[in-house]
Amino acid sequence: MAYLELIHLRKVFGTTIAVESFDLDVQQGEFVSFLGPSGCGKTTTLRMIAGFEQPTEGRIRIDGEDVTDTPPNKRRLGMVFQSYALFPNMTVADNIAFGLRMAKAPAHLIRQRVEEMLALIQMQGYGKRYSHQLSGGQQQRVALARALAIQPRVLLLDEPLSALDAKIRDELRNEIRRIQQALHITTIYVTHDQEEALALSDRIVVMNAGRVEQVGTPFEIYNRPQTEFVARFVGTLSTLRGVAGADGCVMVGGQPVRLGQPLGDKRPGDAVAIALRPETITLNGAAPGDNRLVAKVEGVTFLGSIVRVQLSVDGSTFVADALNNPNFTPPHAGETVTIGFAPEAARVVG
Amino acid sequence: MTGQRSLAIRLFAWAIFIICAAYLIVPLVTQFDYSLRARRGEIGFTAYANVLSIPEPDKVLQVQTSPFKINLNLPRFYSSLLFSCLMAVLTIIVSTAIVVPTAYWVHLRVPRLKPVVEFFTVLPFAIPGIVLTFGLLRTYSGPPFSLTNTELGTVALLVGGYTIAVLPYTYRSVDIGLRAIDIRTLTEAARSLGAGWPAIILQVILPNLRVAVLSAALLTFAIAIGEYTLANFLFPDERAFGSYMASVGNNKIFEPAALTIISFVLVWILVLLIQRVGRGTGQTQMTGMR
Repeated sequence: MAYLELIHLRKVFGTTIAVESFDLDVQQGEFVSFLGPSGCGKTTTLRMIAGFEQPTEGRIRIDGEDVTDTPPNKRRLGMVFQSYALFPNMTVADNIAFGLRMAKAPAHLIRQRVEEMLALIQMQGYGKRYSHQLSGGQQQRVALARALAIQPRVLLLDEPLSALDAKIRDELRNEIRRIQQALHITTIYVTHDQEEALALSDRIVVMNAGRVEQVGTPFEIYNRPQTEFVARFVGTLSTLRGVAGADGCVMVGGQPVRLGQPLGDKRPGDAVAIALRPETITLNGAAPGDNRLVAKVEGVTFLGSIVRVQLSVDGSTFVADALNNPNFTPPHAGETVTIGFAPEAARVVG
Repeated sequence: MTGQRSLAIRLFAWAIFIICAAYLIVPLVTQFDYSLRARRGEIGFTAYANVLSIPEPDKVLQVQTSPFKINLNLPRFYSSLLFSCLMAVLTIIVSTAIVVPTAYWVHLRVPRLKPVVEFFTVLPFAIPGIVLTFGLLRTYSGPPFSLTNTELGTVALLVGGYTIAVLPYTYRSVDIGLRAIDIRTLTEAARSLGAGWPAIILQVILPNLRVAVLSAALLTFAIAIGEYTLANFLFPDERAFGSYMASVGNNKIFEPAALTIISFVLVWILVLLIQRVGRGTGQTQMTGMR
């Protein structure tokens, strides 16, 4: 039996369906991310688990106990908010101790637990500070410690890194994963940042318009998207437009492209859209058996570790990523290059 | 041209400032000056001495049957001031206990009702004090409520009346305070940590509204301490400070001016005290992330 069970969850606000037919089993100690664009229902689902929203239909079970009608303060879940939500009138230590005081834990136990939590987030010595004396990253660490101090059954994180700058976000992301694995705590993480979800999660639930599009490991979600939405939302996807050829190929600007999958019900001459990930395309050369296309360089963007090249073939524009190294000479805009990609890398999306 | 225009605007602003300042300060200065002339041909504090220290044994309240009748054998200035201070403190406690949870609940759960609640809270501005007084007296001086039959009931009625009279100030202060903090997230954070509603209000919301509540308390205190109409009708024995001031005003010449200055100084001391308390741990209005 799964540790956290979401059974046919549905949430309707007035005439708007926020979440529809949401089913999910989460194992104990698993890190599951809800990934999707704004308004897809991921936060509403999280809030239903937390007890802040009552499901219109469906049940929520934690460790076999039905908590659908249990008030949030009785669910024993830890929640971390995007805006930190530290109590401004309390010190760091008092914030961490708050949940334990509510549970009427003995004073010596509270002191001990606060010290443990401060050590866990590597903020010993900060106990007497107030939230306004901390940086955003420190505040979010304290919020995490506060949520963990009560030893929650499930840790819920609602876009906890969104308000932080890039460097702190990366550091804290690693910190969250380290702590989650150290404590082996069941975690639900809401984000619209695919990189975060891919880096942190054991499994990802991709959501769109209130529905689950796909549930899978980061590898499955990225490499084997089951819907066009997932393919487009997770990672960068370029689309090449062509027409179906007679032999199962797609003709793009008069150049044949072989696919790793059948064309389905497409007839010769029908319009076909194929999708490619930028990192699957090689510039100036192709391995034996790969597709080869002559493309025009439209522009080059230097992104640090990678160089992104904008290309076009017969009006279809797409991008290719090349790993940056000192020996790499990026092409110039206006040049013509031969690109290569494996037939399996191209997916028919329309 | 632009320079001349900005100079004209600045001069106009200064003129307005000076006129407003004069409007407030000149009466105080003249009152103070007048209060010093109790003895013909001399400048001195005789009127102040009369108000503050001359015992009037015949007018000192002696009744010992109620905690609300101050029996310290003091001049009436002190006894009436103490009585009104007590009423003001009770009003602050009652209005805080009513307004904070109400405003909090409206913000959190029924924000669409904000305009309705705001309308009700400003009604005391529209209803004259005498109408409020007679309304309260008519309703609560006979069966089934008959509050004015007992000392405690009359005090309850006075405090209730003051709570209504100060509602526009208290609700607005608390409302502004609530707008400055992200009460929804703070409430949810506290709920997720196991807190019930009383703990959330007392330990999370109220401390973060400290400055707002203190501002409301100050306004309540200033209004309650000088209130005349309700106090005079409910306590015709001139027990309240407002009634005492009116009585002095009717019967003395220089002492009313001295009393005005004393009241003014008292209120200022109170303002400074509240501001000092409000600073507390070095934080002003606590603001959560929005």
